[in-house]
Amino acid sequence: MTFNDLFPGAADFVANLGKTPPFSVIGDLYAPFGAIHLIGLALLGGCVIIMNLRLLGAGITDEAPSTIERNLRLWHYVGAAIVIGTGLVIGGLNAERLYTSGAFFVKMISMLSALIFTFGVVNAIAKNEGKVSTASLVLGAIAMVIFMIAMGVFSITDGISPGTFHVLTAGYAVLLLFGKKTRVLAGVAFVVMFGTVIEGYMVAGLDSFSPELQNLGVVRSWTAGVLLITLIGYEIYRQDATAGGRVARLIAVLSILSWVATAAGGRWIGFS
Amino acid sequence: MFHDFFAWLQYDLGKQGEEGLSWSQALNGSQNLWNLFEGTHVLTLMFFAGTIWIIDLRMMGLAFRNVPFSKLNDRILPITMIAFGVMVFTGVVTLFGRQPATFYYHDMWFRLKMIFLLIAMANIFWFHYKVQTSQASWDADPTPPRNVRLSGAISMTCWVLIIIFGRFIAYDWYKCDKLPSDSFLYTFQECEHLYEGMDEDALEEEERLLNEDEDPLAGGGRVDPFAEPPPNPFGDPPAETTETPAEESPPDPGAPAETEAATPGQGE
Repeated sequence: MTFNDLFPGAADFVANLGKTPPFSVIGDLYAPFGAIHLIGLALLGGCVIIMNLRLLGAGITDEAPSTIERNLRLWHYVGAAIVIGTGLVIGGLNAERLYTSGAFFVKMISMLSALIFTFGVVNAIAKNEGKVSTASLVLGAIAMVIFMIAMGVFSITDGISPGTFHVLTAGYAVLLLFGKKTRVLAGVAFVVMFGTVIEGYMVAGLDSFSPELQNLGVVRSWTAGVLLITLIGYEIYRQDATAGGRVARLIAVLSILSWVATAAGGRWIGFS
Repeated sequence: MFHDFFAWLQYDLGKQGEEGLSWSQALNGSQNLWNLFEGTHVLTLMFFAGTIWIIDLRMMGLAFRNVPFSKLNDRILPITMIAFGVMVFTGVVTLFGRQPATFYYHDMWFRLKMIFLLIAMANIFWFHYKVQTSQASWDADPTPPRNVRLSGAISMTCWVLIIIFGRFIAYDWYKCDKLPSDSFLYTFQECEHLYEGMDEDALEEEERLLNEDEDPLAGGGRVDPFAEPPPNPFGDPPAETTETPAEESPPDPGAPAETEAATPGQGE
């Protein structure tokens, strides 16, 4: 699935975008803008992780969620401004390529959910010391559906589906950080998952393109994904309420993973 | 300095028989494995750089001004350190699996990245063993003392530059074959040793990798398979003006006429 599939009539406009101002003027600055894009990603990602870990009852637990939110609010906006601003530039300079890229489509859909989570849901929950209002609940549900669509497209698109490995890895990392009852199991599960990646390549040969290796990858990803959802669900359900209830913790996990999916989709533009 | 070691890693380690591939070559040619390691390296930036910058911002008095530094540091630093470990591990594997031979070692941006990594490490040691000894006196200060702010600024600057230099590795603006042999960058990148230690097969393999068409399924080094590499925002290096002695020239058949390394390009 690509934007060209959804909006084929815009193909000509997109093809000429790089030749029109301001993109035609700043064409020489593609590389620096691309590098600064990563810096914005890192800054925003750090803010997202720290804020959401607090809602999960981990990280800076000595401070109230509202304190964390207030202190990170400016840097959330700075990071997002850098990411979106530089993204518009590098996107405009490579518009035709991205328009037909499945990874770019995943990135944009994930980013939509991530922006809703971060600036429409998590901030409100944090200001409310972890309580989830009806508006947050509705917005969170919308963002979750969008995120699921993005992950669905990510997992079935040829050439980029291995990129879901990054989202799974981040999910297990988050579970290791906030999990209490399932931390060890999560660690073991991740080691096994990662071990099968290496083992498969060692058996088939590192430079193998065998169908069996690909099939193993698909089975592994689905197994790891189902297990991750189960463990996170169990952890959210069974944990004592810390900063927020179960819904807040679910939203916090999805918020982190939606940004990871955005970044993973962006990285796999280059690999696809 | 370490050219021979990198060449051994790239061409000999794990190689079985005359026709076999080294582990580095096999990793480079793997369908997705190199991509997964490199992608993890980049994505872990969010966990590492993002968290360390929050600490740096506190050190500079620009965030969490009313939260004691120790509370922030004690809670966030473990995440930062684990993420750093992941980045080092994936970075080493990514370096190991990159082709053509010694791609990173003779690359200006990689060398700058390593230099600033060392500076960042030195700053960390300076902060922990010198500056932080007086933490009790400034822990709750909204604006810490000058040396604390300086350490935070150095840290943030170093990691920003490390990310930028790391991103620029993908571009071939200052590759050895594009530089005059009497230029500073040629010397800085130790270009005179680029082809040392390579047998005929390795030289042919390197030239093939530099000139081959993009393999849509191969990983290893393909970062942005755009049609045209992006322009050099710093201006192209001057062309060679002096006659290069024969023994310094890249070997036949012909130097790579166009360096078609996998680099991002603008959509023209």
